Amino acid sequence: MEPQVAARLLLSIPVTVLLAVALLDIFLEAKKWPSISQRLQTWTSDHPLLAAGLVAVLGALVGHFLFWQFK
Amino acid sequence: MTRKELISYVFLAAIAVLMLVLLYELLWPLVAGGNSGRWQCSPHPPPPQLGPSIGYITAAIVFFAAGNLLGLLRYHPAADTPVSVGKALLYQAVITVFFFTVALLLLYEAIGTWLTDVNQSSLWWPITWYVRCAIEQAAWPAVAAISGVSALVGHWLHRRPA
Repeated sequence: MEPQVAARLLLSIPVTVLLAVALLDIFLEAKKWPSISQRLQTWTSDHPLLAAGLVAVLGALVGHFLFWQFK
Repeated sequence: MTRKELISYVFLAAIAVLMLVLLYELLWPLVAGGNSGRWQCSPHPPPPQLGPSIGYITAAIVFFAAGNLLGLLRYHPAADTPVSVGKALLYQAVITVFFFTVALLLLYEAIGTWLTDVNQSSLWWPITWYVRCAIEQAAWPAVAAISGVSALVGHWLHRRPA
């Protein structure tokens, strides 16, 4: 598979997941059910170290993908 | 509809539309033309320059904060009561799918990094190269993606209001 095709397909995976999550959140808001964020927030309250680890991984990924590097 | 609900709907709809547009931008050239569109990815793409890097990181932080604030706004104290088994399963499934996807992508990143290290001409690239290629070839959609992802993650990880 050509890299540029793989790039498009691979990058579309997280975008699809986030689209599904956003649509589901709209549904939850309409039904007046707790949002996913509120559910996840309960988890972060119960497991602050795991939540901090998750944010650290995400931050490291963003920095790794996007940041300039020393030569 | 209250002002709070309206802001929530607008935020979530904006994220959904943004993701739809990005999906269209990513996949339509493959469907329509049968080729990879205008992107020209080269191996070992360099990371962005310092100036744009700061811009991308700043956009990520700003939208993370915006999503976080909206999480506080959408908070329903009354909804903190235990949910039914069916609802709990729905939440668990969504969160599990999300983290499973992240884990798969990280696995792919590890395999891609390993394969390109072993064989420079390997076609299995690490995701980092794809992301850097996307930033190079389509900077503004990349900024939109960074902002949308950061806003949604910030929205998910808001703190409980006092």
